[in-house]
Amino acid sequence: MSEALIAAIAGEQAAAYAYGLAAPYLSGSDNDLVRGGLVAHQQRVTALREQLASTPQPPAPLGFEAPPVNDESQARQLLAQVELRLCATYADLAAQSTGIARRAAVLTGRECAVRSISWGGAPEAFPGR
Amino acid sequence: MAKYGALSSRDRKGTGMDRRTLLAGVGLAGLALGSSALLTSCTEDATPTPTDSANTDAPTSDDANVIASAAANEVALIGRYEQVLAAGSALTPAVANLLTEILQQHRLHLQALSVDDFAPASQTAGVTPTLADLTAAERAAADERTLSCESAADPNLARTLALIAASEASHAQALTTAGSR
Repeated sequence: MSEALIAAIAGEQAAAYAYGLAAPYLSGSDNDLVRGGLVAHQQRVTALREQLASTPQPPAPLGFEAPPVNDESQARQLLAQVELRLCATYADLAAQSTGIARRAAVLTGRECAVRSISWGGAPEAFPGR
Repeated sequence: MAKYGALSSRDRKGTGMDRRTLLAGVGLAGLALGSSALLTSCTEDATPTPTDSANTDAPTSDDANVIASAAANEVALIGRYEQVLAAGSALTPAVANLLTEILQQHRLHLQALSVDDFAPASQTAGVTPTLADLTAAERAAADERTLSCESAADPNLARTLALIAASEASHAQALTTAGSR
């Protein structure tokens, strides 16, 4: 359980970082989608850390390697991929959880899948796998 | 032997989590440049092997019910997409391609549930489903898969159902986008 939680925390931190990278290249109606996604991922980090009752908590990463994002198309591609990959991360978390925690993991994975499509991603049979 | 175990072969070998952690923490760089290689290796991992089958416990009877109910729903979905595509004439090429792709993904879902012999969906005579009908059916399917996932005893089955739920949520979103164009 805790391994999958730590992986999910890392994935959410990476996602929030990716939104920061992509945001300057997105505008208009995308702004709401950026804001919604960014807030969702930030809140998830907090929620997952609470779920991970054990100490020590994993430290926040010092940085992330990321592909260059220089235009709108690259920004969309990055966010679609980040969201897609989180689907698999949350499926792993679901597998290692039970009850309400498992349901939360599945629902969060579904939200990531929907956002991936919103950023121009294509549906997959096993998203992120 | 349940094929859904094959989707998690890396985890059973104890390497899946390490790699995912690595990907999540370090690997944003892989997204633009190296993603195709990653996807390829994932696909290879998902190929069933004798080892996978040998390591997969037979489903408990409760899990067998979970699988049967999910499979029945997938069969029904496949039937609806086949019906729409057969009626076909009013579809733009882009929408027809999307529906064909989604249909194929439902067949993969069914395969992953390891249900080889199933009765083909009885072609519902009468009204052909609209895009809105298909969207609603995908949302309902994602909800059903979410509930099934909660009752799955085998973690590998739970993982597969979680992935299918996410897939079906993405279908609903893609259909909504296609319908508003």
